[in-house]
Amino acid sequence: MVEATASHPVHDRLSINRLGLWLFIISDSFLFAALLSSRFFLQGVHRPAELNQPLGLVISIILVASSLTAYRSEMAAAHGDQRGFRNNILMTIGLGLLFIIGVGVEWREAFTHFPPSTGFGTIFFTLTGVHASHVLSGLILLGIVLFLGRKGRFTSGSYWGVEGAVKYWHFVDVAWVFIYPTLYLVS
Amino acid sequence: MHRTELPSKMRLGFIVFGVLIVIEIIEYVLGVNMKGGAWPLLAVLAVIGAWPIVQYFMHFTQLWRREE
Repeated sequence: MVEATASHPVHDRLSINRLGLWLFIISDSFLFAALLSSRFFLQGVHRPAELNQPLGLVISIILVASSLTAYRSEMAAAHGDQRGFRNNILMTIGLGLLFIIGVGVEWREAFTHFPPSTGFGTIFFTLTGVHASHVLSGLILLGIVLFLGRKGRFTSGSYWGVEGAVKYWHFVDVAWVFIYPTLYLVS
Repeated sequence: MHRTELPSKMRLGFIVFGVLIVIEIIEYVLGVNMKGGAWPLLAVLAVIGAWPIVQYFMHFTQLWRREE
C-alpha cells in the first residue's frame, strides 16, 4: 500500500509533464499553421525562380538527420548508455548549427532576390525566421541537457529532461516538414 | 527499459530516417518537375512525412499508454 502511494505520484508527474509539453507543442503548431496559411493567402502558389531549391533540400535532410540523432540520444539515455546519449546530443547540436548556417546562406541570397519588402520575401523571412528562432531555442535546451548529462543528472529511470528537449526538437523538425514544401516546392 | 531492446530501437530510428529521406526526395522531384498542380501531392506527402516523426520519434501514444 505504501509502495503504491509512493510510486503513483512519480508516474503521474511524468504523465502530466508529457501532457503539458504536448499541449504546448499543439498550441505552438497553431502559430506555424497561421503563418503557413498566410503564404497561400498573400501569394497563392507563386514562387520566385531564384529560390535555391537544392539548398532547401540539403538543409531539410540535415534537420531530419538531427531528428535521428536526437531520437538515438533519448533511447541511449533511456537504456542507461551515457556515452551514446552524450555523443548523439552533440551530433544533434552540430547538425542544428549546420541547419542554421544553411538558413543564413539562404537568407543572404534571399535579401538580393526577394527582400523582406516584397510579398514573398515577407512570408519567407517570417516563416524561416520564426522557425530558426525555434531551432535556436532547441539548441539552447539541448546544450543544457548535455551539460546536465555530463554531471550525471540523467539515469535510465529518470531522464525527463532529455525526453522533453528531444520532443521539442522533433516538433521543430515536424514544423519544417510542412514549411519546406510550402516555401520551396509549391508553385 | 532493458538494454537488450536498445539495438532494435536504434534500428527503428534508421528505418524512420530512411522513410523521411525518401519522402523529402520525392517531394523535391515533384516540386522541381511539376509546374503547377503539385501542391495537393506535396500536402499529402508532408502529412505522411510528419506522421512517423510524431508516432515513432515523439512517442505520441505515450499520452494514453501508461506502461512506457
